[in-house]
Amino acid sequence: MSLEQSMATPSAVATDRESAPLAPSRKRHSNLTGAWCGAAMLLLLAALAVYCRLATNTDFIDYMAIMMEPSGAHWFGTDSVGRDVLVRTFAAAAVDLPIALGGTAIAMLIGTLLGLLASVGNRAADSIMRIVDGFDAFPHLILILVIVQVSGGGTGTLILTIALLNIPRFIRLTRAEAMQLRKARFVFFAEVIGASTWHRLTRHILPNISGAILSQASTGTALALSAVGAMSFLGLGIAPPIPSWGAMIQEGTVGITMGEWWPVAFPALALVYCIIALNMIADSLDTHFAKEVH
Amino acid sequence: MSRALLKVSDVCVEFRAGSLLNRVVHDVSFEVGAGEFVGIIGETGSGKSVTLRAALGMLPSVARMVAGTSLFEGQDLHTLGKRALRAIKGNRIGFIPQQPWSALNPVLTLEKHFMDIGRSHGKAPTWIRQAARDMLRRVEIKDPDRVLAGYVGNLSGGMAQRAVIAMSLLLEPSLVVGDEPTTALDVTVQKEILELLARICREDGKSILMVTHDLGVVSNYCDRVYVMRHGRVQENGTARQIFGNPQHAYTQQLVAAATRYLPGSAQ
Repeated sequence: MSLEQSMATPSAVATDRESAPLAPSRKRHSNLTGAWCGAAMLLLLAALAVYCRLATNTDFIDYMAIMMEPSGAHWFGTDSVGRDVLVRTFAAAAVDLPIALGGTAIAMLIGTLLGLLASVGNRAADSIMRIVDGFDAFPHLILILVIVQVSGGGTGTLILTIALLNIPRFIRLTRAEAMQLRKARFVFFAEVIGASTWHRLTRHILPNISGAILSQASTGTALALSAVGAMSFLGLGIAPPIPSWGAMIQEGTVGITMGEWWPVAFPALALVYCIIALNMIADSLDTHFAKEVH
Repeated sequence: MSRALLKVSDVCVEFRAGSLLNRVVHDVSFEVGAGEFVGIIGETGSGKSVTLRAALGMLPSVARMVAGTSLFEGQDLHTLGKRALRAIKGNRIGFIPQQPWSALNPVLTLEKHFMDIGRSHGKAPTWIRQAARDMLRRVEIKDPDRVLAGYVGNLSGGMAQRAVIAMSLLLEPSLVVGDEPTTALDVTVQKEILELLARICREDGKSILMVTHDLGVVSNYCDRVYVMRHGRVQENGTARQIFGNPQHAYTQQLVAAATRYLPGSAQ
């Protein structure tokens, strides 16, 4: 008997695969409920922020209502100079959110690009990582103080600082994810059919790690909001009287011991609200993209 | 044998593990002539896939080809620059991977895969679309537009491998290399795919170099066979010689082991 018979012959039950319907398409909208809810929460806050910033006077001082607790006239109460806490809390979102989002977006773009290049595994890639190691070894608080001292503060400085602090996170994440995917068979196949290194990085690896990067961006924005708040609290951020959550909390702390909780509580709650919304987006994207890839 | 399209001579490959060097391929030589179907067989770990990757200049970073040459159409693939080598891969040498599902990017449509291959070699989008449709029809996919719009996750194993073969043949390579291209498929689909591949390559005069541990594949389709074990070629010859009159003790064992399980051969 020849070895030819060791090959199976097509069985009678073999179906015409081409006439069979394609498998159901991937459910692209599954698991994104959290992301949509988070985005809706942020949009609602942004709409209120724009309204308060444009249609109201955030610096209006009511000398007859200094440090008034929440009431029908002032839902969130007033601060120590008679300004409406509600108006200033929402207006601060129009200041803090763009700084956090802008800084994180810049960090994401630069960090992702450098992270992809660092994943290649040559001498230049190693150099990128050594620079990142050196940067991370430097105390960030001192770095912030130096930048603010040198540049004199302001919105641009804050965005730059947030970006600088976030870039290493994106580099490390992107590099780690890309290095893992470099071993994937579809990346090898792309190499075998003549795709360049840049093409493999941007076309095959980047789309597969974009979920993790977006998730990191969301988490990074939440951390950036905290950082903006902390910097304003320390007097390194937005200069008064422009409303900023960190500065509002800092100003309100003087009255905490006397039971005047509202100038601190409402900006803090707004900060928490934003961070929860951003974390909802991050969690949802994480789950969604993990399922997509698997 | 006809003129050698791929001539691999005295290839040695070493793997590095810390400070240790482990030689896994020893002085392997083989040739693929124009229009030939050549098989490299051997057990798992015999070094056949590493030899194939060394021949194509595709070794992993921990491995190094320490000796030998790999001439394709007279050009040594190991002395070519990166750009020149890229121009050959996918264009003059097609590659069929082992598992079609994992060889295709899950977030790209099949059309984008075809576009990537074509554009990597300077083809216009309209040409690529038409060539992709034509090639998908040649691999007996009846509705190419539907397949092109889908993702690899939408395809059955056979369909995915047909699509991968179409990609490998898109730019009309003169040599098609397969690294166990049917191992991940069930036996019915294996036969369909192999017959399809052999027919297309025969019609177009393409050469095939296939690495496999499936003796059935080799005996049915290959013109010449190289038997590898422990990183060395133990024996080579025509399929008829290898399976009809094996000379080396290992080849004899291999052939005997395969025939032992054929229907009617049970003791």
